[in-house]
Formats: sequence, C-alpha cells, structure tokens
Amino acid sequence: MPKNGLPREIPANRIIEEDTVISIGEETRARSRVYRLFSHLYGRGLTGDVWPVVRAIPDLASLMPEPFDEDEAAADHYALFSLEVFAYASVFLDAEGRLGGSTTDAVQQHYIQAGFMPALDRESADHLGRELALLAFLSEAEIDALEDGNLHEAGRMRRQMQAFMDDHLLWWLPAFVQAVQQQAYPFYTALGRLTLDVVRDHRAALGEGAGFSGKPVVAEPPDLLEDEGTGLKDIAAYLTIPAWSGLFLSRSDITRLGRSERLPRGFGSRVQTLTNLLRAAVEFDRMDALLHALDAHVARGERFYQEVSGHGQSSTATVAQMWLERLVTTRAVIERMQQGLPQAFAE
Amino acid sequence: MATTSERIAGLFAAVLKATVPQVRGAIYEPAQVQDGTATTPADFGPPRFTETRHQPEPVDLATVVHPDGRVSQYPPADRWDDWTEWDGKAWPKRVARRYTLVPTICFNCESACGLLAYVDRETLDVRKYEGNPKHPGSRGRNCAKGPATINQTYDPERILYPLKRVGARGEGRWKRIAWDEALSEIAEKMRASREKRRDGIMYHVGRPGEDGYTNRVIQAWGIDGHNSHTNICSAGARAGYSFWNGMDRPSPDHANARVILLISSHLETGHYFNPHAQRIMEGKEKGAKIITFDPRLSNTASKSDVWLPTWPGSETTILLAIANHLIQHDLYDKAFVERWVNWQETLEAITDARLPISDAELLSKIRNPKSKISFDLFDAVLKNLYAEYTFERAAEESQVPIERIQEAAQYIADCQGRLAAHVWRSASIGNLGGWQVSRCLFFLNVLTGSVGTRGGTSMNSWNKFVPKPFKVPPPGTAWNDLHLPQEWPLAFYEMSFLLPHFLEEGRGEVDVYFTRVYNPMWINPDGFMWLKALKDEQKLKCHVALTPTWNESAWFADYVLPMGHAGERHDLMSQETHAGQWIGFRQPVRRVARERLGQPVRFTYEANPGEVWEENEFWIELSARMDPDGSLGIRHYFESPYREGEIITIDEYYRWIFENSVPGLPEAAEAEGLTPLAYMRKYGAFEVKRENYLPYEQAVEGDTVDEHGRVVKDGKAVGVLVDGEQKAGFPTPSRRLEFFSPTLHDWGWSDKHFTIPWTLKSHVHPGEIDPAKGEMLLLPTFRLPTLIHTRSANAKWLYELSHKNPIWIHPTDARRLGVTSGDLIRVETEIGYFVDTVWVTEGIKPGIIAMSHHLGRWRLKEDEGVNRQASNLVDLKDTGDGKHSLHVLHGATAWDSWDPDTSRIWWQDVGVHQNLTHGVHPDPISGAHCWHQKAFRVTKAGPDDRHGDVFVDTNKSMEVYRQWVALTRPATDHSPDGTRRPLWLKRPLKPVVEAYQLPETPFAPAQPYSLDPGYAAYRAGNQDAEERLTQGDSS
Repeated sequence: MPKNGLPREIPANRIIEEDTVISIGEETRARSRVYRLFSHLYGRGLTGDVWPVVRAIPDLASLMPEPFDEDEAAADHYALFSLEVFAYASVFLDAEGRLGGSTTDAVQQHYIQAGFMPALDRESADHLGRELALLAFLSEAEIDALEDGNLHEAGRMRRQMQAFMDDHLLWWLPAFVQAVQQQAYPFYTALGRLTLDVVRDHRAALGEGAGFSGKPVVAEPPDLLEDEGTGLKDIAAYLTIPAWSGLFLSRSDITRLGRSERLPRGFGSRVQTLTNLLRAAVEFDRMDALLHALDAHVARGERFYQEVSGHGQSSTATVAQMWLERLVTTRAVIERMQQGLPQAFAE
Repeated sequence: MATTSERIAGLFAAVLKATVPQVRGAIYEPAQVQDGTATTPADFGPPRFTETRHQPEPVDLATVVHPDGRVSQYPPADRWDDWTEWDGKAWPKRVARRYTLVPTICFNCESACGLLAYVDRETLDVRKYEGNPKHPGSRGRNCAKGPATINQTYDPERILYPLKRVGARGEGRWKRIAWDEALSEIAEKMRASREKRRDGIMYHVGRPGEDGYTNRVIQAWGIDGHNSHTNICSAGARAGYSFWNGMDRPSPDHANARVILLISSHLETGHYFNPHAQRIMEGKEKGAKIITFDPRLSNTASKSDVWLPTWPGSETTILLAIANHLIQHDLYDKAFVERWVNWQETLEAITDARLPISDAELLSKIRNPKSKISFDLFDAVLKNLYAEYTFERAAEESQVPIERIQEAAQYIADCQGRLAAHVWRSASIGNLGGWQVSRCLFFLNVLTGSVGTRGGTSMNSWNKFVPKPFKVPPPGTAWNDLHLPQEWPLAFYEMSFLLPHFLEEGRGEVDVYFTRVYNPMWINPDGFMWLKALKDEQKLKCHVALTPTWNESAWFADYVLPMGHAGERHDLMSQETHAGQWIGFRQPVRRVARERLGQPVRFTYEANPGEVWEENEFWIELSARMDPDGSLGIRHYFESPYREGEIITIDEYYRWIFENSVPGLPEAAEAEGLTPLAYMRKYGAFEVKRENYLPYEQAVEGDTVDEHGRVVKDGKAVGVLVDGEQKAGFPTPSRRLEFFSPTLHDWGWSDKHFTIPWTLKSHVHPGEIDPAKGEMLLLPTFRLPTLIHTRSANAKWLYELSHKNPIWIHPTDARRLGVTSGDLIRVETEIGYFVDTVWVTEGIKPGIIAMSHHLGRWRLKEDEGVNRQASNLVDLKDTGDGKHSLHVLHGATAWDSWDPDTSRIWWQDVGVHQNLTHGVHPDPISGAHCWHQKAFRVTKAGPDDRHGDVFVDTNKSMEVYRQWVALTRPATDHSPDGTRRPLWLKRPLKPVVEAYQLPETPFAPAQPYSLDPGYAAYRAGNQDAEERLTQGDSS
C-alpha cells in the first residue's frame, strides 16, 4: 500500500444509477453527506428539514411514516434512543455500561488526533451521531485534500478513518444495529442496516491497511460460572452488559420476556427489572420457560452475527466472531442455569 | 432484493441529488476550529490529551485529624486548580491524570455534605467525587451516597433534554424540545394564571436541597404556591418542638453529650446522617451513653447502651415516666426551669381552670389570691400531674423490660445538662398524636437544662445560617386552601399528601403544577389517588416535572425538564449538623472548570451533559418571561443589582449574597486576595460560627417591657425579662419555653392531653390490634442507610448495597402464620392489600411487621402507553369503579414446591410498593400523615397471590380520608380570632396578616364529615368522643 493511503488497486468507479457513474471523489462526497445525514438521524431523528432527502433513499422511503408528523417522529426517536437502545459506544463496549469511562476517552483521543472538535458538552463523545460526524468531517477533509491535489493529506484522512473504524467503530456498530433490530421501529431497523452496510463498504474501500489488530476493545466478561457466590443479580448484571453477554436487552426486551412468561418485573433500570424478572421466575416456577425465551434471544443474535460474519471482510468477520463468542458463553450460562434447576423448576 | 452494492448506490444517488442544506442541518456540526474563534471546550489547554504529559509532583497532602483520632489526607486546597495524580485504575500502567478540583455539595440527602469533583482538565469529564476537607459539617467524609454521584452523572439512561409530551397524558410519548420553547410555553401559562388569580401555580418540592432561593422566586410571583413533602416526613416532630419553643427542628450536640437519646435508627439512616453519625461516634468514644427507642433492632439500636424496643405510640409514656422520675426525685434542673419555662402562665391557666389538676388542696393554694406565686407551686403541679407515669406503667404499655427504662432514666438523670436528643420522623410521624413524642422528648431537655448547652440540644435556627438574598419580595396576599385548608389550622405544614383528595372533593384546581425532585405517586400514601389526580387534565391543567431521572409521576407530566445532580447546579445550603453555623455552595463543576480554564459560560446547561440545566437559572429565565414587560411586578426581582434593567446572572445573584449577607466572608476572602464569590467557588463552604451555645441567653435591648414581661421593640416582642435582665428568649408568644400551650388551648384543643406534654392514644395502640383476628401493626417508616428515597435506582452502587424490602416478622408471629423466611404473606390494610416475602427475625417486636419504605418501584409505560394495544396482561388494572390493582398474576403456586437448597442461591426478594395500600391518616393537629398502619389481616399468601401484588379500592381511600378529616377541629369552629392559623406559628412562606382571615364561605363537603361508628370504634374503642384521641384514665 502506498504511503498516501490510497488502496493499491483503485476500485472501479461506482455506478449509482443506470446511466450514472461517479468518480471516487464523488463517492467520497456522497459518503460524507450520508454520514452527516445519518449523524442527524441518530442525534435528532427524522425532522422536516431532512425529510425530502430521506424520502429519496430507496431503502428508507417505504418505511417513512405517512403523513409525516414531526412530533410523532420526535417521540419515536426519543423512545428508541433514550428509553430503549442507548446509542453510545460505552454502553456496548464498557464493562460498566457507563459513559465517561475508557471508551469515551479512546473516542476523544481519535477526535483530538483528527482535529475534530465537536461541542462535547452537549452529548457524550461516543454517541453514534458524533462518531458518524467524525467520519463526515474526515471525508470532507479528504475531499478538500483531493481537490487541492494533496494526496498525502487525503491519505492521512483515510488512514485516520480506517484506524477509527478498526480500533473502535466496527467493534460496536454491529451490536448496536442488532439491538435496534430487536425493537419495533422498522425505519430505524433499516437505517441501522444501511449504516452498517455503508461503514463496511467504506472500510472495504479503504483497503486492508495495517490498522486492524483484531484485538478486541470490548471488556472481557467475568467468569460467572466459576464463582460460587454468583446470584441472580450478578446474572442480571451480566446479561444487561453487552460487552459481557453479547446481548442487548432493552426495557422493551425485558418487558416482552416478562409478558411472554407472565412474570412481573417492576420499575427501574434495566438491570433492576431483569433481576426482578429472574427472581420472580424462581418464585413462580417459571425459570425454565424464561431461560428458553432468553435462549431464543441469544439465537437471534447468533443468526445476526453469522450473517454479518459471512460478509467476507476480515475485519467484520473478526468482530462478528468476537460477539458470537460472547453469545456462546452466555448460552453456556443459560444452559448451566437450566441444569441447575431442581426438577420442580425444570419440568 | 437489492444487493448491498445496489442499496448503497441508491443511497448515494439520493444524497448527491439533495441540496447541501438538507444534509447539513445536523446538530453535530463540528465546532469552529483552529481559527481562534471557538467557544467550546475544544480550544483551551493544549495539549488536550486525556492522559496528561504532566507528572504528579511530590507534594505535602492536606491532613485532617478528626476528633475521633482518625487521619485522612486530601490534595491541598492551593493545588486544587491544577492537580495531577496517577490513575489507580490504569495500574500497572503509569497514567497521569490532570484535574481541576471543584468543590460542590452532595444532593443525595438533606445533610449537604461537601464533595470535591475531580474534573479532567483536558476532557472536562468528572472522574470521581471525593470528600471536601474544607466543609465544616462533613469534614471531608462522606457516606456511600456522595461518591455515587458519579453514577448518576454518567448514567446513560438519565434525562438529558427538555421533553414535551406527545399524545395523551401518561401515554409515555415524548419529544425533545428546546429550552427556549419550554420556557416560553410554560411562562405563558403561568402569566395567564397569575393574571387571573394568586393561587393557581403550585410548586411541589420533594427534596429541597437548597435554602431560600426558590422561596424567593415563589414570593416574587406574588402567589401562595409553595407545597412540600413535610407532612409525610417531619410534621409531627416539628409541631411538638414548635409548641415548646417556636422552632421546629432539634440540633443535638452529639459530640459533647453525656447522654445521646435517639428515637430512630439515627446512627445509620437519620436526618443529617453522615455529619451526625461522625459526631455520635465521637461522643460515644468520649463516654456518652446512647439510648435508642426503636421497635426494630436497627444498627443504631445494636450499638446503643440501652435499646428500648417500644410498642409504637408508647414512646411518650416512657419519656414521661423518665420525666416523672426526675420530677418526683427532684433530679431536674429547677433553676433552668424556673428561669425559662412559662410556669407562671401555667399557674394562671390552673387558676382559671384551663389546666385541671387533681390535687384540690394544691388547686386552692394556687387559686388563693393571698398566696405567693412561687416556683414551688409549679414544682408541686408537676409532681401532681405526672405522678401517674410510673416505670411500671411505662413498662407495661411499651412492652419493654422495666429495668431498661430505669437504666435509661438513671443515665438521663446524670446527664449534667448534656442530653443530646433527636427525633425527626420515626415515632413522631408514625402515630396519631405523634407530635407529642417530640414534645415529651424536649421535656427531658428542659428538665435536664440541656437546651442550647454544650452537649445538649439546640434548635435548628441557632445552628443553621441562611443568608438574605438581594431584594426580598414582600409576603404574598393570597392563601391557597389546597395547601392549608381550615380544618388543620396548626399543621406543619401544607397538607401535601391530601392534594388528590382535595381535588377529588372539588376544593380547587391547579393551573400550573411543578413537581420538583418529587415523585408523589410513589412516595405518598394512597398512590392510586395520585394516579387519578395526575391523569386529570381538568384539575391539574399543566404538570411540569423538574427531575434528573425518570420516575412514576414524571410519566404523567406535560413537560419533563432535566435538572442537574450534585455537580451540575448552584445552590446554597446550610444545615444544623452541630453546634456551629456554616454555608455550603453547590456548584456545577464542569461549568466552574471551564470558567477556571478561561471559558465563559452563560447558562449552566451549556456545560452540563446534554442540556441538563439547573433550577436557579431556569427560574430566573422563566420568571422574566412570565413578566416580559414588568407589568405584573415580577420582573424587577430578577434584574441585576449591578446592571440596571438587565436580567440577573447566577454569578451576580451569589456575588451579592456573599458580599452582603455572610458575616466574616468578605474579610476571609480578602485575606486570601479573593472576592467573596471566588472564595466560595474555591472552597465550596464557609464556617460562619464555630460555636453557638445558649443564644437565648443573649442580651437584647427593647423599647419597653409589657405586662407579660416581654421585651418589646418597634411594637414587636423581641425578648423577655429574666431575673431583671432583658434576654432574647425563644420565638414563642411568651418568649419562654411553653410547658402549657395557650395556643393549643385557644384553638380547640383545650384538654391537658394536648396543652401540656402528655400521651395520646395512637391509632395503632395495642388495644386496637387483635392478633387473634390476624391483626398486626405494620411499621413502614424505616429506611435503609444507602438509599435515596425514590432516586436510588439510578445509582447502581447504592442499589447493589440495598435492593429489597422483605417484611420483618418475629418468629412467634411467623410460627402462628406458618411461614418461614422467604415465604409470601398477604397484608390487608384499610384500603387494599399487598403481597411480599417475609424475613423472620427476632429484631422486630412480636405483633409488628416492618418494611423499609424505599423499595418496590414500578412503571406504567408498557401498560398505559405505546404498547397498550398489544397488551393482554396489564400490570395496572383500573376497573373504573375505584378498584386498582398492580396485578402480575398467573395461576401457579410456588410455595409447596419450593426447594430450600436452591433458594439459598437463587431466592431473594423483590421490593414491594406498600405505600399504595396505605390509607391517608392526617393527624388532626400536626397534619402529619400517621404512617403506621393497622394490618387488618396478615395471612400466609393464597394460591392466587403473587409477590408484588397490590390491590386498592380508592372508594375506601376517600372513606378513610373523610374519617380522619372528621377528627379535626376546624378553624371555622375553633379559631379564637377569626383567623386561619395562629400568626406566630411558622409557615414556609408566611403571607400578609390580612390573608390569615378565614374566608366568608369556606369549603363545605358534599356530605358532612362524621366519624363512622364502626370506624370510630376501631380507632377509639369505647371511649367517648372527647377521650377518643387520648390515653385517658380508662386505658
């Protein structure tokens, strides 16, 4: 790979419509716009100003609510991203699932190196909207460099994007997209899928590079099964921390589990309601059924990552493999719980 | 189906066709960079690395040697601006972190302990909260709740933006709106209300966490708008103390006491827990004896010298037995009592038969105009009045071994004026007549001369310092009957927990209802009545919830406005933690850090996470918009004292206070070359007085002395003549300690059971509880030390420490019911029932079941909101005829098949929301909700009962409410002067004198309140009406 960061083999220009072929420069411009648009959609949702352009996107057009109601769109966005799936890398990669920790630090480090300085006091640096804005920012910088004929600078921008994806974004984006897919928001499900496609496509266009270490930045799970003191609350905490369990259980996911097994879950944070649910399952002799339902949740995750893994890209496959391994461990926890059930529970 | 390539091609085509503005509307625009115009944190302090290049330097740490001998160390204050230390979490890698340390005040209980935020200079992230060694109350130490602030700050599930509801109220659909929009819309509604009336806006506060700021705002609005949570908390204790001395909170000097008398689990969970616990331990180390009254073996009880597990409601009997011991054996401080108690007024009351005594000879002596009125007569009166309170009687009524009561009495008799005593909630809020608990407790302070002494018990206003802000608005002219209706003229204070019942009766409506760090539906008794009220858009027309996190009540708001945690807001606080005075300054630490680094910030939400704001600035901006042209006379209170006509900034507000209202602060600041504001920003606290003993002995100067011996200045009593000297005295009508309360006598409570320290029969008196019928006493008043009422769920460390509220039950009761630890029981109350697990323990008295009151949270979203149509099984059922259930059922029973081996690993309890099943019990005098419940039936759970089940019939709720209203003696019938309330009694915001006049047409219920015979029998046995509430001779 030459020092300017351009791939050794320049891919063929992309055909975007039957009669239109765009240059690499145009493709970069398109990408920067996509990132900016998606950044907005994750950050603020579907609003009147972006409505026309979103409507022109084939994958999303049919899923747009008609007629468009700005309040309803805002309520959907709030419900999904502030009550169900939290669009922060820390939630998926950190053991504590708390913002402001090592993941946020790492993201900020990328921003600093890129000279990307968003107003960090509005939203945590590791919000997906912010991270896509970084890619938009770097793509625009790449365009500027190309227009100036500064291939070295363009290459530098590409390397930064590659490093950001390999060191960070690719590790959590699939898990986030999978989490969104579990929720009842078709528009955002499609948006998530498209986001993952665009990032992976972009990553492929950036070439293999030297950046992808294959070393997970995801927190290692504790060895729950080896600890004799493990109780239901520990298991609930384990299951609600994606970095450990490979699962994302939203409030609604937990509610659905409760409803399907007719178990109470109470009010509170996810870990609290899941703890309640597990305890109630014990008390009402529904643990076996609940574990089956959880297992089905794991299976859905496995199918998703297997599909992602089959995409053929080594970086994506490595990441998917890591999440699959987490799910395998979680399945083992579930199986161990099933084995541990006394006969009265397992029947 | 399109391939990935085709899909991306379609996407690219769409965005390339779009105009640039369509895809540039994003909020995530990068800030202005690298051209020197940036206004974000991006442009300060190169190098901007989270891992700093700086290395920690060897430095002498600031060392605090605590009075108990322990030593703790802190970064020295002169290095707080720029502090580098190794990151312990990064070990074994050597990672240096560079911080600026910003002091603030904890917001997780009312103690106002000092915190020190470690703000990363390069990222502005708060890394941790530790103790502030410069804080005189907490002295660098914190409980678990302080450091847990970091969890609240970085909780991804917190509320980050102002929200407005979409769809119907309670549906759970929200959209983010701008502060500007929220301010304009709410201000408009407030203006409309204020133009119409002066009682249409209500500010209902749960945890105030500040002194005076919001009260000033409400007063500036010119309304009667302050509502609180006091009546479910401390109203009983406040009333009892106030009738004695005009102040409503005790401030014991634990550290210097000889005897510490606690009616609560005060060492672990009490009011001002951390600062008090430190000082109780200090006192104990110096040899103090600790006496604890608690039916439950709390951690405090277990550490006490004497534990008195009293039957709830019998505390007063023991206290009076101890008093009687002091009186009969002449062991009390006669000099103090003679000097400060209104004994002459008491003798006058005996003379004119307002206070009956049984000794005819003594009565005739007192009445004989020729006999000299002497203290000896009063001594004889005391001996006569209290002779019936023997240790034997106390032991029998309290069900406590007599030796323990005698031992406690001996310690108290030997306290030498150093009795530190405290009751805040506990028995005073549990029982009908609970206000007499604090009155009888303070009687012991009076008898031992331990009032305001070193090691004794002071009052809050002596040890709490609230500085005056600029331009204090005048008292309001309105009286909101939804706050203090005429049935409770002596209440402390607003009858807050009855708001839904008042609305149900048609007593009024609210135009704009603010709930502030307050979750009324959850925390109050009878939550389903709250649910009904919160849903009613006709009666609560606009509900604005100011809260850092989601709660059950906020779900029923029209606007949810995110307010900051401890490190995200300005407030000024002081508490009576010990015998001194201090102020603490809560600060938004990221804002302060930015300002230190040269970044001006206009509004705190610019520096907080998301758009989390602080109330101080919010109220300023809201009030200014409510009165944009000044025509309502509100705006000028929010204009700068330094820039004429312009809206005040938060810096200016506190600058004025620190420059003008805090004695000694300007001088202390000057000594360090700082402005007073800079001094407070640097240290976060200031000690106003190191010690403040015997303030009532201070000399005062008046114009005259009136016929009652009161020193009068400018027409107002400011002191009292004592032994020929003009002394400050106490803020009571007599300026003395009022043993006999003319106020209670004059307002319809003329019997001695009310006018002097006496026992009142609790609604859960043993005579009312028949175990043979399955009846028990439910004690719901204790809390777990690490919980923050309803806010704990967002602090995972705290939640990890405490998370369940099983029912404590004595082994004898457990055997009777046939249950063991972990089994479910059903507890039936007046209005419904709940189902919870039991914990069998000898740490609770037989006949009593006890439950912590924090747990059992629940949510409605799935059942009431967006997924309602998809829900076959609803947790919350409202059948429309007043019957509500939290129903989480299916048909199986688990108990017979329970595997005890597995339960040891798997089985732990889930919290249950008991408050929903509590009927409201407003005390007819203090207005306190008497929390203890008579559990009509306690049984092993049936096959259909599920853990967490709750059922309530709100028809019964209203019936219980009406029964308790019937106990009142309304001002319309009993006011001696046509007013609503004695003028001298405290109120959070006193209106003008004219507003005290009773209305011409007071509210009349559709049906008159009358005691249902059956209900009266339940509570009062066979006693006649006058004796209903009293212990009486027959009991």
